[in-house]
Amino acid sequence: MSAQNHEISRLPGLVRMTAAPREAGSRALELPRTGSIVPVWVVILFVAAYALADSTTGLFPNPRFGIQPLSPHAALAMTLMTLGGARYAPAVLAAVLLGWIFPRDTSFSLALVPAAFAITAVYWAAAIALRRWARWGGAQVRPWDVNILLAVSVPAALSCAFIDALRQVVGPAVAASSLPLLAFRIFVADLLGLVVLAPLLLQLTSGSWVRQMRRSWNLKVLRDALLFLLAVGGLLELVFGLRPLDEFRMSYLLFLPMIIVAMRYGVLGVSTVMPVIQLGLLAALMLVGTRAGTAFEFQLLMLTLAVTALYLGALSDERQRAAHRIAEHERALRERGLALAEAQRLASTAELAAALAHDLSQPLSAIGTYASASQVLAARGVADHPKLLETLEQITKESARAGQYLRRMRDFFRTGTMREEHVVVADLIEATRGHLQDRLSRGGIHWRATIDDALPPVRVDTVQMGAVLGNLATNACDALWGVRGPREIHVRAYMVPGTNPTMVRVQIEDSGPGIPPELRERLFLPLATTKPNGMGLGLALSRSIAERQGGHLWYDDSREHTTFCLDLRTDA
Amino acid sequence: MPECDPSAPDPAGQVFLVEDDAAVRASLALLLQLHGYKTREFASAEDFLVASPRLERPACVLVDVRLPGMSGIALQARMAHDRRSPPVLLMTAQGSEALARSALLQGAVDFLEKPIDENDLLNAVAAGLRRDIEHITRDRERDAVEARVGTLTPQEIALFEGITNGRQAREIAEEFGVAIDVLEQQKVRLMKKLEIGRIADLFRLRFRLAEILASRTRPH
Repeated sequence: MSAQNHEISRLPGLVRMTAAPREAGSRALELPRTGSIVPVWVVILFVAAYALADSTTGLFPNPRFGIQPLSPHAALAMTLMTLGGARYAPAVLAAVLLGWIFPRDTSFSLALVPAAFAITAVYWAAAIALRRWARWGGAQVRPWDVNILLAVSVPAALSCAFIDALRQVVGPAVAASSLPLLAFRIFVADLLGLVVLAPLLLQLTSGSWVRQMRRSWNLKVLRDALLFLLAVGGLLELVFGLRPLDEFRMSYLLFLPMIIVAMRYGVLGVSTVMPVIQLGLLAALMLVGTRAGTAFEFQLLMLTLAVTALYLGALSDERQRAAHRIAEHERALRERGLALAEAQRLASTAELAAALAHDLSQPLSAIGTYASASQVLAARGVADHPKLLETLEQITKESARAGQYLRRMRDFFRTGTMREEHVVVADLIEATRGHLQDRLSRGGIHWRATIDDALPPVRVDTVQMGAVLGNLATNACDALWGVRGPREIHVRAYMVPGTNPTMVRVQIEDSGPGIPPELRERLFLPLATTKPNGMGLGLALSRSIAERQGGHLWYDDSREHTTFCLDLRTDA
Repeated sequence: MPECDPSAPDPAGQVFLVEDDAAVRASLALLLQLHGYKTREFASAEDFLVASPRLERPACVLVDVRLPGMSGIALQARMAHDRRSPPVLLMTAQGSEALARSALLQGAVDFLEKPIDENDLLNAVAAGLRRDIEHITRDRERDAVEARVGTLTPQEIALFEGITNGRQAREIAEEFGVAIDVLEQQKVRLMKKLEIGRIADLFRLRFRLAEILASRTRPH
């Protein structure tokens, strides 16, 4: 057991791997009783911020209630509990009490204790929900996480507002009749605080903010930040400077920089910048002074702005992730394509080796047989010498044929380096016909070539494209083998209309029985063949050669007879 | 079937070459002609099949395994169905043992690998021709026997069976309900019909007939 532990402790990656599912399982099955340990200074900071937050209330003088437009309490408490779990409930409890007692000289009464307990419980429940269903601390924030934040925030803020309002109504300062309005105002302020601050606080405390910032930080971010501050400042000046004219009707202009940030920097940008805008708005309101009604309008504006921006940011993140995934996928596909091409090359190498063995054995066999015949003829005497000479000539011819096969093979294996040259299509087609002359005449096949005048020369590797055309024409010959009725291969070459640079299309059509429909879809896959002894390069290899040279090769479904089209690049 | 004797003089006959490569075909034809064989060349299995009913015998067919259209193996398999077709010699560029074995099991005489050795070729051709000659002789004899037996009346067949089963003439006459001299007359007529001079030949014919019947149920 100890040995095992020792082994595992030396493999931290393994520990993480084995520990992770258990953690996930416990998360799914039971409520997390403990969160991570939060440094003491962070806790103190949170508590202090919570307790002192109320002291800003006085900044917004209100004839009836001391309400601030944005209350950070809920955000602070929920972040702490989301991060650290239930063990920080006492700290939150203390903060709630301190927040009530200190700034407003409220004397401590026992009635405050159950209220503080109730509020802490609400925060705790909200934190549990947030932990369980959302992932705000991770690297990726999804629209779903925004959903959860809102779904948790609204009831939490509502509950807290009601409890807080009740507490105030119980006290002597506030009339009982104003309870609903008071609760509503507290609710809006708390909700705004949650939506504006919680994303940033959650990301900051979980460390994901720093991680992401470090990753995306560069001078462009700094430039954008400065531009953003300038824009917000200018807009605020515009909105509030014109106040006498239009009562802040132009506040919606603040949406613009927010949208830009959301689209460019996602949730990270939104959660960072949102508090800045909101602080700017608050500062402007403070400076200008406002009526309670206007402040409420502003709250709603800010709430809408915050929610919109969060969703936009999350969507933009998601779009970026999707784009990233697609790029990854495409790269994987490309790599697999390369691997496939390599496999094809190897497969066709084996096939070519077999083809070479066959091709070479023919002239060699003929040479051997002619040589035997020569021996017989030589032994017979002078009368047979003309026949002997003729036979020896055949031997020479056959050895030349063997050499030609070898040369062709060597040319083929020179595929790694392409030698592109300008070739006249008619020459290419004529060369193909020349290679196939024997097969054509043997099969009684009529070769018809219709080549448009004034075609620009194509830019191809002659040897490889010759192999492709030869393969297509050989296929056509094979298809015509034993066909009753007209046996014709019709090769057409013409300019493809509307291409730039101009493409020249070589179209090869045979009057054969056609390709079975079930094979058509797989035509260009390796190993697809109708021939019992599938020799040659294969359509798969032909297509990859064509595409490597900027061309296309495809099967034209629209025509009655089997038709393949080969588009070739030109410089025109 | 008796084994072919390699030391026997080369039989005369035709060699049909089915090979798509013109040079290979021409060189084989030349060599075989120099060794006294008549040759006929075909560029494909289909061409050969069209011409084959009218071809002279004895003969053997030298077929390349790899042919455009119908392959050499397919041609051989098809010919194996017809017991009157000439023996097949297969040639291949890539020697494949499995291919060779299956071809030989299907009745190919030999499997030659390219480039073809002259002696192997001549031996294989001689063996093929000998086998064809044997087949032809046997087929002719069989045809003749069948033709003669076919003319017999049911009573003559019974008589033929009775005699060759070793029964006495008196016994058979009693069974047929005829006098012994009538039976003797019938016996003379039977032997005349079967073109047989001696009683011993009657037994030999019976033996051949049994053989033919056996070979009919089990071709090759």
